[in-house]
Amino acid sequence: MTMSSNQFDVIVVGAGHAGCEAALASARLGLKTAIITTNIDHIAYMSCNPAVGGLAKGHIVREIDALGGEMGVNTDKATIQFKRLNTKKGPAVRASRSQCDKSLYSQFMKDVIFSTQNLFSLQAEVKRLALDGSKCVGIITEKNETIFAKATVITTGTFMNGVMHVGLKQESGGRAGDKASIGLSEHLKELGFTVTRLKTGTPARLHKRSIDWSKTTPQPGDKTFYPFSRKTAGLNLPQIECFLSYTNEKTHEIIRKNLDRSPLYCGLIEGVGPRYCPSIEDKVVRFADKDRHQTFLEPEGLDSDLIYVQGMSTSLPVDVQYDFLRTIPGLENVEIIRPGYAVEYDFIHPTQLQKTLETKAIENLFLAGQVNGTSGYEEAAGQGFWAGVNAAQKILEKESMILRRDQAYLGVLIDDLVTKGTQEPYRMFTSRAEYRLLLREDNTLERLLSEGKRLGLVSDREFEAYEKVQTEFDEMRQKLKSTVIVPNEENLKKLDAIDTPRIVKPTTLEELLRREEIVFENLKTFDAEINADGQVIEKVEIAVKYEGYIKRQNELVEQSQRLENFKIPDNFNFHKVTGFSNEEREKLTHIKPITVGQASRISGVNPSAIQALLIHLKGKEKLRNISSL
Amino acid sequence: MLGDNETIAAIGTAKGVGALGIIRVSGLHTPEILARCFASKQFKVQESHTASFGVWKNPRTQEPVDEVVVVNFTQGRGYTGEAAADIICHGGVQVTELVLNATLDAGARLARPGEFTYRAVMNGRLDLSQAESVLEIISAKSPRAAALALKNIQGALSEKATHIEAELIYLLANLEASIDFTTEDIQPVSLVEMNQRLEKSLDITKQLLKSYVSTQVVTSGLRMAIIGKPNVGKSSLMNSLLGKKRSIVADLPGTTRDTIEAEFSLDGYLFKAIDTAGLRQSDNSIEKEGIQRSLDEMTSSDLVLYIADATVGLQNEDIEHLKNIGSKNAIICFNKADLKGLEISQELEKSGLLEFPTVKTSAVTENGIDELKNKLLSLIHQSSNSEMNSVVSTQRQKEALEGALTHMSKASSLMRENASPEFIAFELKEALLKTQSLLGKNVGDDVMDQVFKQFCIGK
Repeated sequence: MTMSSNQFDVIVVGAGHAGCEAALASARLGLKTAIITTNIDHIAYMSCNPAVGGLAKGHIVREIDALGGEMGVNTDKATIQFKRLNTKKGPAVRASRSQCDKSLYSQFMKDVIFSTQNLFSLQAEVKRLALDGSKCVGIITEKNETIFAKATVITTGTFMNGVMHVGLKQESGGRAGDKASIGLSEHLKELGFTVTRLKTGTPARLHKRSIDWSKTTPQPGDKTFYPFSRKTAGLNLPQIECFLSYTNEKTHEIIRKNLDRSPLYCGLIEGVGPRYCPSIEDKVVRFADKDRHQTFLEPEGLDSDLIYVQGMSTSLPVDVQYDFLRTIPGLENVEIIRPGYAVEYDFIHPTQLQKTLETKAIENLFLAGQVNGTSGYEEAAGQGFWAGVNAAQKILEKESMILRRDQAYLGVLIDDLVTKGTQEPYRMFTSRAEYRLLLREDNTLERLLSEGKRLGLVSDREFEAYEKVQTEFDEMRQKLKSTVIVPNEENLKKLDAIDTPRIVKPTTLEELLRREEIVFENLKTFDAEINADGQVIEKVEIAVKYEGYIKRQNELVEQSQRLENFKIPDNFNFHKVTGFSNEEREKLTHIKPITVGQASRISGVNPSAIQALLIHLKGKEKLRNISSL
Repeated sequence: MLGDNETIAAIGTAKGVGALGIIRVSGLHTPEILARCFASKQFKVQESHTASFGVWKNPRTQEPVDEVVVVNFTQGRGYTGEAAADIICHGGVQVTELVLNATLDAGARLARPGEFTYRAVMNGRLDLSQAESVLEIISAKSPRAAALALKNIQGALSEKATHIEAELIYLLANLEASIDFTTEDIQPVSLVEMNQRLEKSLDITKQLLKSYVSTQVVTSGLRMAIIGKPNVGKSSLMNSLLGKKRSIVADLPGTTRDTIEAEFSLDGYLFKAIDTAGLRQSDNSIEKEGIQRSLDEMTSSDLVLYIADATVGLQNEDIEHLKNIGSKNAIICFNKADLKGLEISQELEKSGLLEFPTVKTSAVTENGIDELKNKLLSLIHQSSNSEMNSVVSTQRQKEALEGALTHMSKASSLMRENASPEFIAFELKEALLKTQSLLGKNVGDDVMDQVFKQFCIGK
């Protein structure tokens, strides 16, 4: 197959984290896919912190992996420091986080892209969409070349009308070293899409030779590696340390004195930035009573001279950046290789998208990633995968992939975006998931591997490997349930030895494991056959110790299913229902929720409106039933 | 109930003879209906909260039906939040029906039970607990019950529930910050501090629940079982107690034990006296069976009035029964005291029942009846808060509060155990949902229907 033909099944615009997942999913599903980027050397480039994972974000990476996506494997390959967070806390808040070698991450992904069948790469700039009525039939490049596709997925990230700010100077660009995408946003606006601006920022990059490491505190990674991907055997690269330091009052003074030279505080930036990832200026202004802010100095790679200054995102002028950085211990003589900057960009309000991420207005046009108003590589990759799969499924005339809120963080992500929209860059938190206790790292495969298999992205062999573990788990649970220990002398002594109260009647090993102080290891003393591999042990412990909570959460899921299954007919006219305020009616008409459950999540739609809707729908139902008699 | 664009109408006043009747109309077409039916020189449909005198006629026949006063409410100003009107006409079944029919002919449809209040809730004029209080006021059987219901319409319960809601949100926010920002250098509030705040909300919730117990007394009445052997003078005592206000409410035949319930009110509190007829049978095995049955009856009562014959004193069986009953919610009444002077304290000491409140009465001379009434009232006051705090009045509210309490208590003990924050957050979230359901913020459709089914038409 050659690239000379300009007809594809799927075109993916952008080769960032979203674009790569979309393109790979589509190609792996057998469709002829083109991935178009303005810079072929910056595939899967990490614009900001060279790290993947954390609370909720790490969960998303695992989910992508379970479904057959690439981010998990790629991250594992490029990991140079690994940490598992909250290990001492409950299972739902344990998360994995990897510091990656930035250039290797990009290199590895590029290798996969270039070696995947059905996938063709092209360096070009997409200026406009090609349309046939209200259907998107492809794209038009800066050379005025039209490339046709049955479906187009736009994943332009922060590039649409991207403007970078350093101090009061502005420059067009989607990211340092990459030009902005001009024209596409205008075309979308012409087509009637609501497009507004967001802002994000990044800190300076420092030369590692200019840092006095003795003044910082080393932060090593964990000894035990929990890979993101089920396919990863172990670490691929040598592991490094990161280094901790702090700002101080002098730092804050300098920042405060120079706020009049900050584009944000001068009103030059109209885009809204994320509240939870504030620039250092923001932190100093909003948290004025804090006398110091922490910063992690992170090497960008094994062979890299660049050090990323975590927590110091800024758009102050370069001379100010030098001044305030040099007040930080270890950075007294620092050299800035690339200053921190803010970037403003256009995004499409995601309420204009269906649950498959296809736009409501233009058929066969999908949007995914930061262009939808999210922040983070993981959130982007998740959407890219979602859109790529659904574009492919549509072409193949197969069932779409739509995950529920109780199934995956991806389900929460997409539902939040298309139902509630977003005013600031959306980032996933565990608190966004009402079923957090069910969406854990440890049960990702249970939740999603079969979906990956259904789609055809997870092989039978891989599925069998998982089933083996599941069987082991089931058998072990059975064993624990059926092994009873009696309160005889020998057992009582054993219980004393593991520092737990004596039993008074025959007790199963499962009941024993339920005790807070008991771990799986302890059970071995009662039955030598109680042995399993680490993965199974963790699963068993969680299943036994948290059975009660898991059960209750499942009950809540069932209860809410009633509303989730209550479908609203296609093209339902919300004007027919009394009891809505004007605002509610407008929102419902705009978002067009497909179930009453989804309608209840639209912000500004009150419970009384849902009551009115339910009653109206039920009334119609009753009438239908009566008239059909 | 269907939500629709129709304008509804119903008779608002109770059936029967009375000087006035009210037909209530609400909905988009109210102005048109008024235009077709109401002939009045002074009436201006665009002015709200006006009362105008005129003639109500049937739009089909153009015949005048009655002279009326119409109170007008423009959109957004009245009870339901819609354009509405109250038509005050002469009382009596005939006239009110005629006025209603005229209104229906003019384009209104008959309202369904509770539909006016339903629309008030739908239009955001009332929240659910306020709506429930409307129901309570309408069905209030005593002045105190009505006052309690009125307090709720004025938002007394909503205020407390809103405060608890805010506290729970504060605690949840802190917990979530500690989970999602675990790598950041933030100092969320410590579990110890959070627990202290939570305990304050727990206390408020417990107080509210306690008030339910006492408001039950106020709204549905105190159940008082009257126990006593035959011929101790129960009937005459009951008559004295009930006085002119006596009304026999229920006569339940069909079982071997007939019970008679009579209601009377004292100082605004409602009492339901249950005369256990089992003891009206005489003698031996039947009587014993009867006594057993009446003792069973007592477990469902809030209070026992044990009547003994002052001329005879307490016998062994009496003493046994009383010991079973316990002194907490019982009064021993020595009746027929006019016939014999009895040293009560001696009698009690002899029987080992000194802790029981007692009174000497003579139903015949009416001596001691006032004292008995006072003892009944003091028992009520003992077991309830002062009404200043009484705000919880329905089963639904009580259950929501109990749910919130259970989850808050669990969260509190989890905090003390230093449990992982996701479990504490789980319990607090549940408590929050229960509190919000109290405020009607997330109630399921079936509950809403339930609440409004209880309304009779016109409200």
